[in-house]
Amino acid sequence: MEDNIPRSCPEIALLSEKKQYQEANFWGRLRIKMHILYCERCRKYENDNKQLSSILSDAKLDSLTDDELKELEKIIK
Amino acid sequence: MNQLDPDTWVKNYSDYLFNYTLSRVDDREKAKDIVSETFLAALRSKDNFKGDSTEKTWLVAILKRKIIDHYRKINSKKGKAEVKKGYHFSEDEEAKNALETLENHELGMAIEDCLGKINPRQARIFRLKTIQNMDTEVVCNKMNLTPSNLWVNIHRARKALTQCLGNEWKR
Repeated sequence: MEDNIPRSCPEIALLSEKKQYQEANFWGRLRIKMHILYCERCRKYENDNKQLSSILSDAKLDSLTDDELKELEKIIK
Repeated sequence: MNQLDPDTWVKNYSDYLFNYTLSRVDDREKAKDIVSETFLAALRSKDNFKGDSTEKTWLVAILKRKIIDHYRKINSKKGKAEVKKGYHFSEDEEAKNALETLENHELGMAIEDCLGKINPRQARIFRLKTIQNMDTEVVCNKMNLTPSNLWVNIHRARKALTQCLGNEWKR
């Protein structure tokens, strides 16, 4: 992660990721809330992250499973 | 001069081609068939590749022809144009829905483009967790990661994705 940023910011970034997947617990979510009150950088990151989750959900992407990828590999070999 | 490397096609382009197809052919199994037909057709005609375009552009061009073939086959089976029944949306509503669907398909392809540009391992971890909605534990086992490593990888992938997408797609 980047240099010259407060030590807690990288931790907040990881909590923000967990939050996007509903895997941040109550205390984690509270830490984010409190931190972004005074940290503009993390506030921006948290907002961007929310937007990214929203567009990822709108895009309705699908992905091939490992088995499907193996099947494809077999077909073209 | 670009060159072809068929050994990397499945790994590098399957998801892009698959989502491209899914946005035009709304059937997962059919989309998979079309992608495999594309790879086979590409292998058969690989000597015709002149190297003017990228490998990906060339594969997409073949894919487009396969999608057109798919619709030709359907139409020749039906023998006539489909008549819309059960019409209940107003024209405005339908146009709005169509526009939204189109925008979301474009958005999907922009995301796929960006995923193709970021670190492949991070992109795979991101796909498993975000697109395939796998549990953290399952992704960790599959990719041989500790949970904290997983979140670092997810963070790097999401950050790279946000940077790659830029401001254009913010809603």
